[in-house]
Amino acid sequence: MKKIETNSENLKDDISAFYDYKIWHYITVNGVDLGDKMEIQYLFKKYGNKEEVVCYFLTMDYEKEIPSIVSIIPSAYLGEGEVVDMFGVKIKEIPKGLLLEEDSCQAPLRKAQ
Amino acid sequence: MKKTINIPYGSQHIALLEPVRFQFETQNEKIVGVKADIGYVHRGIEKACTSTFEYKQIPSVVARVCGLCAITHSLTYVMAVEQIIDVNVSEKAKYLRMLMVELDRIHSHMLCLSHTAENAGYEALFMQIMADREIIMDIQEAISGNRVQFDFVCIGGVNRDITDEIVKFIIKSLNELQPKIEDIFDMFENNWSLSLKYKGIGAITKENASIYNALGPLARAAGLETDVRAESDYYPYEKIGYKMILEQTGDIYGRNRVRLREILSSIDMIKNILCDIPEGNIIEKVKGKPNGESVARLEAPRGEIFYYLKGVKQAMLDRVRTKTPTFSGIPAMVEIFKGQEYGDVPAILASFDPCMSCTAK
Amino acid sequence: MISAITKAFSNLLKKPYTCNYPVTPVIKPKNYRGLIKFNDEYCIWCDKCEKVCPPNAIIFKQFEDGHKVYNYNPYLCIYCGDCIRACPKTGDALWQCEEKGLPSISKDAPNDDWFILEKEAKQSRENYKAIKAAKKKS
Repeated sequence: MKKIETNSENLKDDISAFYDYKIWHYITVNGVDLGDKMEIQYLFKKYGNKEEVVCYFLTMDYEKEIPSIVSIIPSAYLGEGEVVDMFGVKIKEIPKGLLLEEDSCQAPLRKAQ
Repeated sequence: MKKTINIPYGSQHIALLEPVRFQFETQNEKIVGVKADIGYVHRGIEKACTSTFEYKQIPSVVARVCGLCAITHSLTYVMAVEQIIDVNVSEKAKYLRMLMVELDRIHSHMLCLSHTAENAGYEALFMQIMADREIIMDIQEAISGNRVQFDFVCIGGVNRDITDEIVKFIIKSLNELQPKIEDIFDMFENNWSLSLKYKGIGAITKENASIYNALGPLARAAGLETDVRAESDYYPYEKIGYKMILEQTGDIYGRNRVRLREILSSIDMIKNILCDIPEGNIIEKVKGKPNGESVARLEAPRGEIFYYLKGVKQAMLDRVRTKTPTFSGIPAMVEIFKGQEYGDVPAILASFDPCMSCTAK
Repeated sequence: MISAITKAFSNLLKKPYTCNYPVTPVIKPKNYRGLIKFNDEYCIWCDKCEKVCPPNAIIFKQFEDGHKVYNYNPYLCIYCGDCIRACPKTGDALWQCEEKGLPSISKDAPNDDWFILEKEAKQSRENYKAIKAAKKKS
């Protein structure tokens, strides 16, 4: 896995400069709890090619809000929705409640809980 | 006055296979907007994998995410773990794993074809395909000792070896199956009443398929060349005669054709695998605890399956991320529904082969 | 289309695909994965099977004098066979038979009693450890 670091300010510029739907297959958005902050990963793979998976990642505080990449990759709302539900992070324009209901346990994959 | 009517489809519906809810916004009979709600069967398997089970037990846990893809889930997980703890699997184990994955592909595609036939109103064909599918289930039972939950793959190799008796049984059964599949192929190709329900319905263009990241047979029916079997060299697929199967129409008929042709090519591949299974150990010893990150991808019957693992030198893993094919296929499905007639929805949905217990995990 | 119609009519005269299950038994393949069997004469009480079992269907309860008792829940078991592969005395102490596990009825109390036993077994281990530590000190 080839990892490239980015941050919340440059995320949209980086992804839109990198992503071309004819060349890259968007895999998913992934969240990892590092203990005191979150790492959000955006994973891509080239079509018809044996190169390794490319991963853009950013680290963020729990309370901060990051922009959504739905305007660049329309199918990313599911992956982002899952991260929002599972870790309780905030992503602009992505509502809660894709997998969890309001009365169920909130942010189950957060380490503090 | 409001011009559109909202019709819910699911979470319980007579023509629906699994709990998912679609909210269709219709104008007369035409669908103009779709919303999908997928979180009905969330069971928290990712949480269980990081809080209850040790990394050596997880292959049995993730196998129970979904009954149809039991082998692909545990195999993808095992591939990811083997990358972290540096285990080299023998060639023989790789061949046996490929054998099970291809058998899994055949029976999963047959299930999908039968449901597509049923939802187009052809109950007899549904029965016939389900009966023929038993041949594959019997083979899988003979190899792994169980019909659905195989528990065949383990970290470092596979659990059971294959004997000459089983090899003979598989070849005999596959020779029996091949003409039956050709019959079914003929039926899907030439039956006039089925063609009314299939041809030109639920179509997606190649452009839209790649914008919305369609996967598996859904993408290959539209001509998008995406197949993990061709995109990785972990398994020697080229040696056993793998060819990518593409159609250009993108409708239900195209998807059925992709599935039928994939079944026939899988039968050929299995025969090739059985011819040249190499000698060797089936299982390697595993030592150490996982430390680091890894990803693994595999072509499940419905498309790409993806696992991300992170270990911190403990028996319990730090993070297990499962991305299933239907989960990434939902945006493309929603796009296909727009502009279709409401009456065609059951047949279109069945042709996607949706697996909701995979999607919500 | 014509071949399909002729086939449909010829199917009327054929035998059904299904078998009359409880009356005629289903043919099981060789090495079918069934219930786990245990023989305490050969067991060396290493607890390896208990540690590897994914659903915790094997539990050893320990008594104050140190001897252990094997408990197995066939309704919780997933027949994966990991315990058999972990066992150092496979075949003698622990083996998998070809007998099919039966479904449980409420009389068997497959869950509640088992969860109580699980807690008791955990407690009994700790008690034994405490007794052993106390003996060492004295």
